[in-house]
Amino acid sequence: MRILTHNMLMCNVKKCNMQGYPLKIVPSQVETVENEFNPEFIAHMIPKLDWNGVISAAADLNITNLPPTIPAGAASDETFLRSLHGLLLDITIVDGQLVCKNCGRSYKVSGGIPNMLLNEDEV
Amino acid sequence: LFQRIMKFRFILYADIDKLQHRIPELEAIFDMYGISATIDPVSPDHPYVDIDLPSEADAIRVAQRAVLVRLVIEKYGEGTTHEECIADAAANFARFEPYSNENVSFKFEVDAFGRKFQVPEQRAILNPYIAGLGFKGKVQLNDPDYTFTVYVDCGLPSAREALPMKSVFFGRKLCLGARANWFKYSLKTRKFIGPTSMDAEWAAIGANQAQARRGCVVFDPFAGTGSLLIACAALGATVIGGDRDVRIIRGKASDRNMFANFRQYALPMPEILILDSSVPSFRTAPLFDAIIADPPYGVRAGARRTGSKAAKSKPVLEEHKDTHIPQSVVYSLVDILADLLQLAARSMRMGGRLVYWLPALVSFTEAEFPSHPSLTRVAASYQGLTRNWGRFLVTMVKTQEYQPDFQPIVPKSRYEQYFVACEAGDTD
Repeated sequence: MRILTHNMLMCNVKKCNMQGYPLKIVPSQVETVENEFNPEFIAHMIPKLDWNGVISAAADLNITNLPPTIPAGAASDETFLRSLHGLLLDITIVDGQLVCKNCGRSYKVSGGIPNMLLNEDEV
Repeated sequence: LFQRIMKFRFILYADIDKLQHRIPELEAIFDMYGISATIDPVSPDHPYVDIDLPSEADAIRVAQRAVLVRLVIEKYGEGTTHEECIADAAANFARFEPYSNENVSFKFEVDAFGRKFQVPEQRAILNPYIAGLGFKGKVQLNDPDYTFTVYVDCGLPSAREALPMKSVFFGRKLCLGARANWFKYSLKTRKFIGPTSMDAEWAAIGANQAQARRGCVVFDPFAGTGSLLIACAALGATVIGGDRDVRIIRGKASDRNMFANFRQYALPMPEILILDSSVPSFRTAPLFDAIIADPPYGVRAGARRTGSKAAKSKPVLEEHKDTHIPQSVVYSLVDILADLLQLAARSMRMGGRLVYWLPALVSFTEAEFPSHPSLTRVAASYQGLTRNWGRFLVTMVKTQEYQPDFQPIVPKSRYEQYFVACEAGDTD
């Protein structure tokens, strides 16, 4: 799971009522694989991102140099787009947990695939 | 201001199960490129469609995406006889003078709907065209600069030879459609497939309806072996897939799972999630440019969602939580569709496209289509699978921002009822 995807995911326990966002990443194995840099794609993604979610994910991975808000002119700032690309697409959470800060429910990530299934007693 | 209009004839494939899909595919591609064009609907057995465009580049761009376009011709003349066609083309000489003057090479060929011509017949047809249209360039059979075609329409193929000509047109061959691009994705040579894998050409038609392209994010909530995601990724989209079934996602071995398919075609890896479409796992925001789905609608090998038949299910013990496989209950087609439309309304951008296959009885009526206040249905084309039922490829565009009180409306599925009745032995 990459941070791009993490940015979209929320806790799906009903009582969290869509408040379980962002999920805390508790990584046990992280890989970095470089992907082709596509500035248009990253620029296109900026308005879709929840920036607090990006900061939260980065902090969980001990990356703390992110600006508190999306800087003005970000879409045409290549240095910024490159670092954002690195964070969103190059880092993969291979194994670990995603933990809801609201209800404490934990979702396992295994082999790069998060398991968002609830158990029958939770739906 | 004078803008030159070029007249193109898009020759369409006539696969019996794809006839209804041809015009929607063209419309989706024109819309994706922002090229305005009037595409007149044609009857199902019609072999071509005429489209006027300001440039050749537009026609080529569209054809290079269209699976159901066989080739594109810039049309100069037509008639019910060769004499009429030649006279019509001669009046448009200025349109093809640049491709026929002394500085270029060309060749002529004869093509036909409904019959084939032997070489001597072809020569007899072509000679008056070459003589009558003032071609000054050099004839070159191998790799000429331009190829001109006399296209004879003898109607639908028939067992009898030499049907009389209905009409004829003349023009310059521009390019082929996109079908050949998809041969390498054939299921026959794909590493990992399952019983519900979607044929590569059908997946490509779906991806065109979804307007999958570089820069966009496409989500498939019933990803299975990845057929639809592969088509979208091949067109440049970034793809995310979900499925409830861990076994399908992980596959049998590292070289026999969905990821192996992406590696086989050298496509960027998809993001894959294990999730249940009956509970929302994505935040409400414009995350996706398109959602594409071939929902599991087999009644026998029915779809499942997490749940318990018991009124109140027993809690899963803490020590079992890591290995527990959630119980599941039948996930009805009506619920699948309601959840799918709601997902699209909540998590797709405005203008984004929801593309899905909808099983239907042959007697299906307009009122049976699912609807949602946020979504507008722009296309639905039927493909018969048996005498009694088939499936629609449905395309909906998000046209209204999602409001928390918006709900999908999904009429009872007569398809599902029919199969439940079959199961019970009530029908044949």
